[in-house]
Amino acid sequence: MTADPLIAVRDLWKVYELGDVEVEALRGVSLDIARAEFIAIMGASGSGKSTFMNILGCLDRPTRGSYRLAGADVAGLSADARAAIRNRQIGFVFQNFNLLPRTTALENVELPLYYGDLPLSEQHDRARAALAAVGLTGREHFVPSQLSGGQQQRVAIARALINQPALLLADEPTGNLDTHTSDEIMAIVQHLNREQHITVVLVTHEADVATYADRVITFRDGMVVGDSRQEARRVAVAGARSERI
Amino acid sequence: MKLLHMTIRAALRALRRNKMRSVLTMLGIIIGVAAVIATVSIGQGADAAVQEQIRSLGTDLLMIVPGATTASGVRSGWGGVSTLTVADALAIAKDCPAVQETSYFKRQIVQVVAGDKNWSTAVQGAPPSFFRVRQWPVVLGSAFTERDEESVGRVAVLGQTLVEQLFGAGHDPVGSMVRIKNVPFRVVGVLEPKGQAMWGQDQDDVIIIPFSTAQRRVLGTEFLGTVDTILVTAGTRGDTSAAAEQAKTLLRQRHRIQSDEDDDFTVRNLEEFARASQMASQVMTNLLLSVAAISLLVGGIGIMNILLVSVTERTREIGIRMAVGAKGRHILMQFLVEAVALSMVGGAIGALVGIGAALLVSRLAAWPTLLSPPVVLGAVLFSGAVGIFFGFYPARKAARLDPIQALRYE
Repeated sequence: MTADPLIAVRDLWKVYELGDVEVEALRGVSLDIARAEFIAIMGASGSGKSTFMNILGCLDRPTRGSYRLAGADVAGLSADARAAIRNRQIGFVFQNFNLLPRTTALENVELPLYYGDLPLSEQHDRARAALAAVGLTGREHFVPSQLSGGQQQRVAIARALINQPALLLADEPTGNLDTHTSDEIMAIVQHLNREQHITVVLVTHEADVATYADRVITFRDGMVVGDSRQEARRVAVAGARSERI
Repeated sequence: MKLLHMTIRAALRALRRNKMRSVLTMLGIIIGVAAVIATVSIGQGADAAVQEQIRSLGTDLLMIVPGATTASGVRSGWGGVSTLTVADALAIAKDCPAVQETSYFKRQIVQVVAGDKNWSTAVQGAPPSFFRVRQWPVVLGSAFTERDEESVGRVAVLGQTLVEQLFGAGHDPVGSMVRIKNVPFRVVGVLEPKGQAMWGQDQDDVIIIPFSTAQRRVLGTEFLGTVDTILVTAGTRGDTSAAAEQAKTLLRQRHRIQSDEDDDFTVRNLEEFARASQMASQVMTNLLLSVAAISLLVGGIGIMNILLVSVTERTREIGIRMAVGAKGRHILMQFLVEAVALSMVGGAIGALVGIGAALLVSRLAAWPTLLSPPVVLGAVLFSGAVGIFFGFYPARKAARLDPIQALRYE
């Protein structure tokens, strides 16, 4: 761990105005996340953890407070600047996979590259390699409806990693998967963290899933109420398929 | 460049995915563009035909015919009473400064016989000046001369239609004999084909003989010196209205018409005639064009409507694209390109339909049509502009979506 954290948030507030009622989703969150950490964020629904994730992912802006990502202040950036950061520095994995329907796995993985500078010729090669890394060689031209839930989530992981981001944000990535598939997905995520030193921030309300992380942060009523380090549960990576991610 | 390529590909794929919907959306544009191209082609064809007729008549030509057309009470149609004379024609040429030359003719429908064939045609008795004033050259042989006129010569110049009917197409009849009311005439020339007059008459269905011969030998002598029509040319400056005015004043004097009486003749200005007919076709074209423009407008609204539906349907997709780094302008471009693709493909199909319709009309209805490439290109480009105009609102709506809400949209 370096002295310079990847993520540094200070006194972060998010206030929504619903009609004439003000809802305080975040109430002064301060947190440092070092590079290559594996963090689980826990909390009941309405605790503010999703709002926090959206701000970390540059999908949303805080009402007050500062957010520095890799040393740069991103709290006040324009929508376009935040889009560029999402494109290069952050990968998203969602509970419902969020793949484009009726679009092949390969093209789904390529999607972030459309909005980058990579030449078209390299795009396919890189996307194929990313799919191979999550064990989906031979499934490049399958559309999401032809893939199982676990396979769809693996396509989503390949998409999240295609631009080699520093930060992987996973919002309930196993929420729609059975226990066995969940373990497979978590094995891939943990492997990425351990071998490639990608910082992982995982939102979950399943205590079981949180055991994969090094550090568990608990939210309640828009505030951090718990922050504990733990010995992460190690899982065997199934086969060698995530070796080169 | 890469992005544009990807955007166009994505747009075309999105349209292919909903083929039926895309085609129905395009229908308004297809009909609009087809209508524009068909109407403009037909309109321009009609215009060209009118221009051709004007050229064939000579625009600086005035026709003066007997009879009143404006008086109340008992009127005879024009040409009904023989009030005009050869002397009138000569006086107009002499005394009206705006007039360059005059001619005149007498005309009757008569059976003409050549060998074992016969044909009912217009026999026109006219002096040699007729060919000049009417700007009607002789293409085979030659016109008859003043000497034929003075000597009451039995010579004739034939129109193209008559040649075809009596001698067969392509045959040179010069030197042959034809009989009009049993009087034999020698064919000395054939007129250049002129085609249809504005009023639909075949101008080439005619035989022209010297005026004196017509009076004395063919058309009867009861009104010696009277003519059916006086032709007046306005000269090189082409001031037909001045010539018409002067001829009118002179004729009223010569016919001793009191100031409270109507003219016993009518001056017809062919230029005005042509202009009126051109105006009518212009009005018709404009009318059809505005209907076509409305169709394009409705087509554009259809595109906007479908794109709004599409934006709503694809909210999740927009959210996903934004999450992986698409900026607002990328999303805007994507939907704008879809709108333009819809309208331009519609425009191209419409252009083909329009060209087909124009060709069909000219084939079936025998209307002249004139396809102009700039109009076709313009219509397709305009449909593209319609796409941009009506696609902008839905595209902007998509671009302004909040990524978080878009991602959550079910």
